[in-house]
Amino acid sequence: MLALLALVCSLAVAAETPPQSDAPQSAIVSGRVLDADTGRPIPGALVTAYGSAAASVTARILTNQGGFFVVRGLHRGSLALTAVKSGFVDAAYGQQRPAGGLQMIAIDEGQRLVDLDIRIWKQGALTGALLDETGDPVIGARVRAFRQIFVAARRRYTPAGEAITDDRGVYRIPHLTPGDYIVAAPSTQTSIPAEIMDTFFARTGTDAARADLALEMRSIDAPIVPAGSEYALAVGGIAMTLPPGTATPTSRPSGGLLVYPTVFYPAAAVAAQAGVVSLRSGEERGSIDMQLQPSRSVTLSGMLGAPAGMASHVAVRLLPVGGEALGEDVATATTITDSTGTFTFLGVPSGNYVLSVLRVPRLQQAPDDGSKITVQAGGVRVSTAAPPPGPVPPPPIPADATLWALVPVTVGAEDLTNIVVPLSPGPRMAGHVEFDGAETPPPPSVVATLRISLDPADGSAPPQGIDYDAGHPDETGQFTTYGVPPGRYLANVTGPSIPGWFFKGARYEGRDIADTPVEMTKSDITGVVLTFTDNPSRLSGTVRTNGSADPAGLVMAFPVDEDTWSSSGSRPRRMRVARADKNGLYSFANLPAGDYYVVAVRDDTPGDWWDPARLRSLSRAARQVHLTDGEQKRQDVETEARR
Amino acid sequence: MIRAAALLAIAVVAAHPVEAQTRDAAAPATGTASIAGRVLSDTQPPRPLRRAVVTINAPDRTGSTAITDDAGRFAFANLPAGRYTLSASKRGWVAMSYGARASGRPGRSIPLADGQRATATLQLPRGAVITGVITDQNGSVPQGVSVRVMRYAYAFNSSEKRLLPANGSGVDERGVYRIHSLPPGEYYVAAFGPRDFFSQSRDLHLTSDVDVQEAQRAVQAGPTTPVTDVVQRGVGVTPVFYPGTPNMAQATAITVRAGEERAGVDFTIQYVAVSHVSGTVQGPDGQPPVNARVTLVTNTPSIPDTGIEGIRNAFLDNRGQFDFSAIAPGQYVLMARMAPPGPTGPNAPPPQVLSSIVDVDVQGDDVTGLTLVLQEGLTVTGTVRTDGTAPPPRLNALRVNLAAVQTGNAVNISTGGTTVRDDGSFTLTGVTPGRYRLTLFAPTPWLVRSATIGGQDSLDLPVEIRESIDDAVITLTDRKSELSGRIENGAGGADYSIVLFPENRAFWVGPARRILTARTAADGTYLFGNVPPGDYQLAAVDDVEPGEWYDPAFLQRLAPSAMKITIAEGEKKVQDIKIGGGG
Repeated sequence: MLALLALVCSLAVAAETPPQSDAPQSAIVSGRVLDADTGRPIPGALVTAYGSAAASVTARILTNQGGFFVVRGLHRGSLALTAVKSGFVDAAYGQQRPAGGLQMIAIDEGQRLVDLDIRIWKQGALTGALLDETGDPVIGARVRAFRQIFVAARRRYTPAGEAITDDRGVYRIPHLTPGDYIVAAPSTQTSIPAEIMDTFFARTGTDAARADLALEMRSIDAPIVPAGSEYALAVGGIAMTLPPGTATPTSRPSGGLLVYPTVFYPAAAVAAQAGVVSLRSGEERGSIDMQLQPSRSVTLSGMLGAPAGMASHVAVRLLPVGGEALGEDVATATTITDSTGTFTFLGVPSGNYVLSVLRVPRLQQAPDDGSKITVQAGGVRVSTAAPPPGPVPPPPIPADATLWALVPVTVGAEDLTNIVVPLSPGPRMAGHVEFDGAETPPPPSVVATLRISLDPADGSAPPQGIDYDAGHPDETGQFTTYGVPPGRYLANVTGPSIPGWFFKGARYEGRDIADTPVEMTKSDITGVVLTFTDNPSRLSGTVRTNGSADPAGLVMAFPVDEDTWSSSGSRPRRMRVARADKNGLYSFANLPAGDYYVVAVRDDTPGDWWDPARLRSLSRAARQVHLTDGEQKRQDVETEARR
Repeated sequence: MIRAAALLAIAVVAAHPVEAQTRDAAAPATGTASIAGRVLSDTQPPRPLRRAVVTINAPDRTGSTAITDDAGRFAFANLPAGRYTLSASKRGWVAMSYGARASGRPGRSIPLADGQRATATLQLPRGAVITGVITDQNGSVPQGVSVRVMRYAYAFNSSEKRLLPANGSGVDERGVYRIHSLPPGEYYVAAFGPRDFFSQSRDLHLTSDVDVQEAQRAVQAGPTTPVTDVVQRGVGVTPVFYPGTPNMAQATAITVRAGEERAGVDFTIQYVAVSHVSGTVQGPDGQPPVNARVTLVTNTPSIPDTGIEGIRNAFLDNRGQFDFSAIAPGQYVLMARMAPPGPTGPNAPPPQVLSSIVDVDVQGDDVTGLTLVLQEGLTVTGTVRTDGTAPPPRLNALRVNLAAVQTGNAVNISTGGTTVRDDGSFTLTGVTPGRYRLTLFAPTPWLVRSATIGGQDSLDLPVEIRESIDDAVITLTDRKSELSGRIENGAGGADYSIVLFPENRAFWVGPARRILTARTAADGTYLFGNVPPGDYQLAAVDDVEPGEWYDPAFLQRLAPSAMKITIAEGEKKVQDIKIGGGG
């Protein structure tokens, strides 16, 4: 749903036709929401209009008994329609499959359109029971499903849904689209120095120090709970939290803890060994049962080596080897260093791990501006602070280094103590922003709203804390990013779009590091030029099938150079899809210059288009297109039978 | 529904005033006593509960946690002498304190001498389950509905019983909800519609047949003919109580026994017409304000409040206009606040805060044209003082709050508090008129002795603030007073709830710091570890519902048989109680 909405919202922002001001006759559209499998109308579906045509439409519409909806008050522009209904996958007008490409509808003033039917597909669901080693149900535990996707030509898993087991140990994860899933009962042992918990409960230290700590705790999802309570065990000055959602560990008579490690269906310890559950459209798959097994565990402790003061109160994660496809989502254990930089993980089962530290410089906390209020009504007291209205200028990038460490650790049957983990500063990127064109460059205040992202080329998740704002230019266009862990990165621009200007590329040592990864090692990279153009290149045309326009077509464009597929990061700008409109027209706006395969397919069966094997197969039937800077190229394509 | 407490005639046995001691000696971290035991199910026959979380607590000491093994066993060793309370919880079961008469009731503490080895068994009832299906009036599953079970209980800050949420659940795509781990008791079940914290949520329109017919006619007529305007009214979901009524008074209670699964608690939600609430916020200069936030708070007596969901925020556009959509009929409080940018830093002057509050009554029609003119809020200025011999606390780590005192069902809105300056002074800005207590969390060994405004201690008598205040004084002391004793009823193992309450009835404003309760320990002794000095009445009752002690009617009934007692600052008073002839 989020992905669909994000797409729709970006369309809404990108559309440029404003509603006309001289009170023209508004347009009306109507249609039905239909079950894609049976054709039956669906009453009670929630229809929402997006896009520039719907700028003044403020309502969501519930379909009537006949499945009908009517949207009034539309104006000239483009329109997207979405439909949401319990038991069905979130849908949009024009989709040929669940979660497929949606189609924009061009609206004219006063236009009346009926028969805009939205097809909606039944959801898939995964259900099962979670039991412990004696067959007792595990109650109140979190079970998560991850869907297989391809990012930068690699198989990865993205969170697709989750549920909490009930008093019978039963869980049910609904609203799943067709695809391949893995299912886990994740378990993370979180150990927090009791002195840190005391900071909150005995209110030692300052508000600012507490706010900093709370942020660091949140980065590892650590609850703030008193040690020695029903929410946290206290073991030797360390509070091991007993959060809802995880099975309760216990202590062994001979000392040490018995913990319930993460289990992947059917009985695997890491994602790489998990069984894949393939879910068809509308399929409900039961008996995805898992059994937790207690595991002896040890304590792992040591110290971070860093300049004075920089090692205290830093989050440390212990990630299982074999879980890379899940990113840092499912850690085996997490902790925070105490004020001396010492860390202690309790409850670590034997296995191979990577100890991961990333200390992003801390920003000055926003001062108390009197906006926080406490509302007390009907026996409930709630503290709230409304976020400030409108965009907030980003805080300046701190001068402190980003410190990082990645250390492999093998845990056996004995405690590991005195591990010394030196932290190293991560390299930064610096440069400036250029506006290359005839248009008037945007004012400095607008330049300062841009955000620069550093995206790992292999498609892994960007460093937490600086994922969408690795840096931003000042009003003169100069920028220096946060430090990042060494690796291969792509430089990109995110944040609000500037009307009339389009990001063209990131120049560094004669190449474009928006597409070709730059190796960031120990030293900083300087002299990067982020270029904007007012004359973006564009590839557009008509999708045809048997000589006539094909409104059901989906056009894909991807680089001819296959080697670049695996280093395109998580937001590739050269691997794009565009849905044909009702006249078969497609368009790729601001496609960077280069050599592309362009191919039209029918988007009617589930699957992942970015599987490299499928791309390779599609490329054999694709047209090759050479696009130059600023070129407005037209290229008609024939729909391929799906392969 | 106030439960009549069994009143007991009590007589003074002896009072041994103990000389004020300087300070508690720091509690030793470890000792030689121990408690071991088992957690069992409250079933016949009992069975061990594994992986239950057992916590042990004693006054002035950090608690400890143990988790039961496969035989349900737990142990706490190396305990210093003291009075310990134990409680156990396990998901799917109902948490209980050791010796408690029911879930949520206080347990009995276990006094431990050095070297003593005690045993304790805790029995947990299996949680009950309430489950059913929610549909809308078309028989279809509504979007975003959640279900809560509620029960009547004393709210933490109120002296009357209210319907309070006990547990909740989402509704899945089949309309099914399932709420488990409930203590046995009487519950009300309600379905709530989706309510968003922010008002970007769009209106919800039902599509009418007329609407569809008009659209189809408009298509046939062509673009030049005008369209008949069909009024599309916004709808929403207001809370509905089982078996299907929006009126709390007509709701049917569901009584569940321990471990009972009550299925078929199905009901239907209704869409009701909702309104827009819109208007303009003006700065003191009549101009649209920059950076103002608008908040709308539910204040409808018939709808149980569910906290954050009763609060919605809206943004102002650049003309100072706001528009809340999908507002259900009811009473609301609308508030605008704004803090103009100013200097910041540890010792910067406090932010000036402008605000405006109006009551809004929504009865199905849109409420438009509201105007809120921001005005400077009231200011409360004062000082924090210490009176004692312990090392003074770091003043600039202390935080002062104004806690609004609930009157009737009114919504109270208070500021977020302020940090004390290095010199002990503080200033709270943006205060809206109302009744308040001035509060501060004092670090050990310090206690708040008084927090006066105009000489009146707001901790005992909430102060009505109608204009700015500059004479607030918070005084901290390190001299803690204590009251303890033994109950003798001639039969041994006396088990009572002891209620200590102020002689001055004006102080009976819940949650009053001078109204204290304790359950007798297993050896018939009781302890109040921190009693503000003053004149009190002391009574013993057979049983009391949590929170009931703030009910003036309850205290009224206790007063005639209660014993008068005066406690001085720093005093460790011992007061034994003899329960007289057959009570």
